[in-house]
Parts: sequence; C-alpha cells; structure tokens
Amino acid sequence: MTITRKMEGDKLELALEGRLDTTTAPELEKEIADSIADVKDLTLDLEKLVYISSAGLRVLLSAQKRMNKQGSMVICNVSEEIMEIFEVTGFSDILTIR
Amino acid sequence: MDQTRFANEQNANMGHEAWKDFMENETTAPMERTTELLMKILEDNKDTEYGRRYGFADIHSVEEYQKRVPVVTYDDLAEDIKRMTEGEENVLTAYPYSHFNETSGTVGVPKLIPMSDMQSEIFGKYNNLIMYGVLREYVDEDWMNGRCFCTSSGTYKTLDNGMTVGEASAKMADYLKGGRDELDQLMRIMYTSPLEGVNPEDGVDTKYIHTRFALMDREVRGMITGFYSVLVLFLRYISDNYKLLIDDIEKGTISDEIQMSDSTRESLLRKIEPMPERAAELREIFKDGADFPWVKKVWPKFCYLAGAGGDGFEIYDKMIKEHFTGGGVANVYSGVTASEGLWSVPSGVDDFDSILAPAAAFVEFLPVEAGSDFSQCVTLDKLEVGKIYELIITNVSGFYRYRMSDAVQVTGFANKTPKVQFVYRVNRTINLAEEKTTEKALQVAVEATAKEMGFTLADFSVYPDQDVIPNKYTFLIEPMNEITEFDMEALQQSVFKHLCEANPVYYDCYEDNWLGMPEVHFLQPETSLLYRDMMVYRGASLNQLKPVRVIMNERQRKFFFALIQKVNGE
Repeated sequence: MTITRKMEGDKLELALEGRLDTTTAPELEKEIADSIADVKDLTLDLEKLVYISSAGLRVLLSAQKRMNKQGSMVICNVSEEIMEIFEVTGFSDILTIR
Repeated sequence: MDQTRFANEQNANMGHEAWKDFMENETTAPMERTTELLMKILEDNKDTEYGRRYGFADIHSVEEYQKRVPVVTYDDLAEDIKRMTEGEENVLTAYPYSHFNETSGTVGVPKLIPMSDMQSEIFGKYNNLIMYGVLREYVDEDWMNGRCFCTSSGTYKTLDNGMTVGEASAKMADYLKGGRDELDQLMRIMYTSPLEGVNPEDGVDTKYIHTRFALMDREVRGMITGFYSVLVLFLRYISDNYKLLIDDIEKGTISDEIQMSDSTRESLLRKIEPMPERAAELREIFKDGADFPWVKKVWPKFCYLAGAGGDGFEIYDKMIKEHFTGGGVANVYSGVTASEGLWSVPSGVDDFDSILAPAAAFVEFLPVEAGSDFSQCVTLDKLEVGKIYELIITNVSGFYRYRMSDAVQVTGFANKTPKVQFVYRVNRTINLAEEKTTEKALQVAVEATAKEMGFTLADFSVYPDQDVIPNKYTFLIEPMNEITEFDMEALQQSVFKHLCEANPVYYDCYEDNWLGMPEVHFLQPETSLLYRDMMVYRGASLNQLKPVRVIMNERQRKFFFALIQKVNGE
C-alpha cells in the first residue's frame, strides 16, 4: 500500500492506494500516530484503495476515536466495494463518508 | 513488611477465613443454608408489592414457594424494574439498593439489574475474598509479594433521583472519605493500574493505561480479569504495541497518539517518571519481536491468572499458555457469576469445577430436557452427577425464581455440595432439528479441526442458517494469521467429522436430511478483535463482552459474513 501525505496547517490528508490488510495496516497506524498530534481535520482519501480487511478497519476505528476528541475525520472517494463493507459492518454509522 | 505484601496478606487471611467458613459451614449442610436464605428473603420481602402479590407471608417451605411463585424472565420484571429506577420503593425488594448493573446487551436492549447493598456484600465475599482464599490455599505464598495486573475498567451514570447505573465497582470511590485519591492509593498497593484506568473518563484508552502501568512493574505476580478472552486482548495489545509502550516507559511520557483527555493525561503524568533501566530490560526481552511466550520474561515471578475461564473460554486458555505465559501459571477460574448474582465459587486452581454457594443465592435446577416444564425444577440436594440443568435463581435484589438461561453440568461434590461447570447459555444452543448443539460442542469441533488441519485458531463464530433446505451451520473460523490458499473441501470434511463426534445427533439429522453439510469459511485475522472494538465504541464494557460463538442476530450476521477471507482466489 502507498500512503500519500498532504499537510496544510492543522489539516492532514492521507491518500491510500492498494490494499489495507493485516500486512499494511501497521503502516497506516504508524503514519497516523506520527502525524496526527496537532491535526484538527483528518481526511482519508480512499479513491485508490482496492481492499480493506478487518485489521484495516480497526485502524480506521482507532483513528476515528482519536479524532472524535481533537477534531474531525472524513473519509472520501470510497469505492462501491469498500462502501459495501462499511455499510454491512456498521462503519457507515460511525464514519463521516463523503 | 512492604505495603503490597501486607495488603495481600491481609486479604489472603480474610479470604482464607471466608474459604474455611464456606467449606465448613456451607458445603457440609448446603440444603439447610440455602433454605435459611430463602426463608429470610421471603420474610424480609413479604410486604413488598411482589411479596404481597404472591403471598410470601404464607410461604413456609421450598415446595410452597415453588407452587405459589412463578418462574419469570426479564421481560416479566421490566416494568417493575423501570419503576424502581424511578425511585419507587418496595416494588420487588425491601432491601436497600441504589444501583443497577447494566448488562452488555449483545442481543437487544441492555438490561438493568437491581443490585442491593446485600448483593454487593455477597459479591465481595464470594467473588473477591474467596479468590484470595484460594490463592493462599493453593499457590506459593510468593504471590503476595507483588501486585496484580488488573484489566478492569468501569463507569457509571447517576440518574436524576441519585440512583446509579453501570458498573458497581466504579462506585467504590464514593464510599471513601478521601474519594478518588484515596481509592487510587489503596488500589495501587495491590494492583498496578491507577484509577484513571479503572474508573476512566469517557473515551480514554484504558488498554494503554493498564498495560503501561503493568509493564512498569517488574514484580507483577498475576493478572485478574472478567473473562479470559479479555486477558488475551490485553496481552495482544502488549505484543502489538511494545515499542510504543517501552519508549514511553523510558522517557516517562505518554505518546500523543494515545487517546485521553488533557486532565487524565496530566493526572497520569504525575504518577510516572522516566524508567530507562526498565525500558532497557524490556527492549532486550522484545529485541526479536513478541512472537514467543514473553510473560515470564517481563514479569519473572508471574504465577497466577484469575477470571472466568474454563468451559467456553478454552480457546483463550490455550492461546494464553501457547503464546504468552508458556505454562507454569496457576489459574483461578471464578465460579458461575452474572450481574444477577453469584452461584458458585472456585474449587481450587486449574480446576474448571466450581462449588455451588448455597448461602449466596437460592437456586433451583431445571433439567435441560424439561424445556419449560418448571414442575421439574429440583433443589441442590436432588442433583445428579453428569446431568445438565438450567439455573432458576432467587437473589437478594428482588429476583424470585428468575430464569437465568445458564446451563451447568454437575461434576461431583465438595462435602455435600454439588460441584458444577458452566456448559452453555440455553438460548444459545443451536437447535435447528432437535440436534441441540451446544457452544461447547462447536468449540470442540473447531479446535479439533484446527489441530488436524494445522493452523492456529484465534476465534470462531457459527451461523445457524435457516434460509436453506436442509438447514445447515455456517462456520466462520478465524485463524491467527492470514490464509489465502487452503484445501477448503478438506477443511469442510474435517469440521463435519468433528462436529458429528462432538454431537452425534448432528450426524443422525444429516443422514435423515434434516441438516445439511456445514459450510466453512475463514474469517480475516483480527475480525473478532474488530467486533469487540466496535462494541466498545458503541458503549459496551470491554470486561463484559463475551465472544460471539453463535451468531444471534442480523447485525452480527452481516458483520461477520462481510469479513470472510477470500481463499484460493475466490
């Protein structure tokens, strides 16, 4: 998975490309942990994300919990396949998806 | 003598007295003790609304009680309990109460269970003290020289009338003159966790707090929890996050990525300081990763685990031994307990049996084959070894002949008191064609399959599929590591074989075409952890969450089926 990072003031955008699974979830977890301290708006762009597993969902949930306290988190450009996963797992009720 | 040793010794001595009293006075005359309790409950509550409704004043024997008072479920009491939460007195109980336990509500709406002050004392005696008594009786006394790694976290909310709802343990600070500060000091004598982890503010990362403070202390002797499945969550958290935890221990900091309010962070930072030597020691232990049984390296004198384990939790038991402790640790499996009360106490260490506690509750036993024919309820003096019974309880919080849906098997006797093992939740038995497959049978089948097929099992769930004819079971098996290539046909045959061995009736039903061949899928790794994370996010208590063995509702079904692992490119 490739993570492209764009920081502007207290806004952070992470664009994910490839597969977010057991192998790659720790990378995203670390990226978020390293960059999120002063972030008020976190955007995760999933346009090029082709797959998300349980391990990946756990990272998103953890990020959402964190951002609930310090700002907001938005998920954008979600593919139909990943949107279906969000819906059936109940993530669509938790995440802000645009 | 240091404070920890002193406090543990005090508790051990009191626990030992409680244990001795229990063994000498309760187990030798259980029917007398439990009848005394019932008669006291009826006398004390004869003027409550419920007591008048069923004529408690005129009941003078167990037989009369069984004739006059109906067996009930929560729905029968829901309206009365609502009135109790609104402050009405003498509805179900005359005993003082100010708190309602909230059940995890994995199915439907959470239930509010009244807890009288007397019930609270019963929990204290039979749950906590007797655990200490068992430790003193069976474990080398060195356990007293160190603190216990605690995983418990609880909160409560206060209603307009001053009553509280949530976890009773979270209220302890209210009873101390020095409030939270005093409780924090007292607790940390025996437990590693500070109050910020045990009674957390909303949204605090309690796993970090509990594990961080436990890792700081080289002298930890044991670990205590609600369920053994929760132990795994905490030990896995350390395996997954040891670098961050060690960095923080070294510097005396709390990483910015850990979620907590500023006030909690400031309060915790006052309790920690840089520990470079401990960090160096931990770093050396984990230098090649955490994929080995590391517990006794991190805490060299670690010697016990305590919590609800045994039947239904054997997967976690095994996982703890194989991946974390490496064995050589005494297990104190707590007895059968629930928000509604406590029915049995541990019978020793490494023993799944527990001994009924006749003075803790009045319990009747309904043979499971009797279904809902409550005329077949028997008292503890009529129990037969080997038979399985559903528990019908009468407690000191206003529940009279309450159907618990917990089934226990009688395994023997301690003096004259039956010993039991929890076997399953009656309403979680799969019964599509009168095959009555228990959670235990499912577990045995899946464990045997994992062994035969050579993968490490992390967890599993089973969906009873009634949308196909014949009906069938769908097994969703979660391996520890991702599996993308596998002989799924062999896996299915293995599950089928072991399921039929665990419950031969399944095979009869299959032969008669009442049940089909089970369907089997792998789940993606971490699916069960994700489910628990989701439930906690939605407000469930981590310590109350039980594993989903049988998928009971559509939300669970959609969740688990969405996370099936694609295998062999399909």
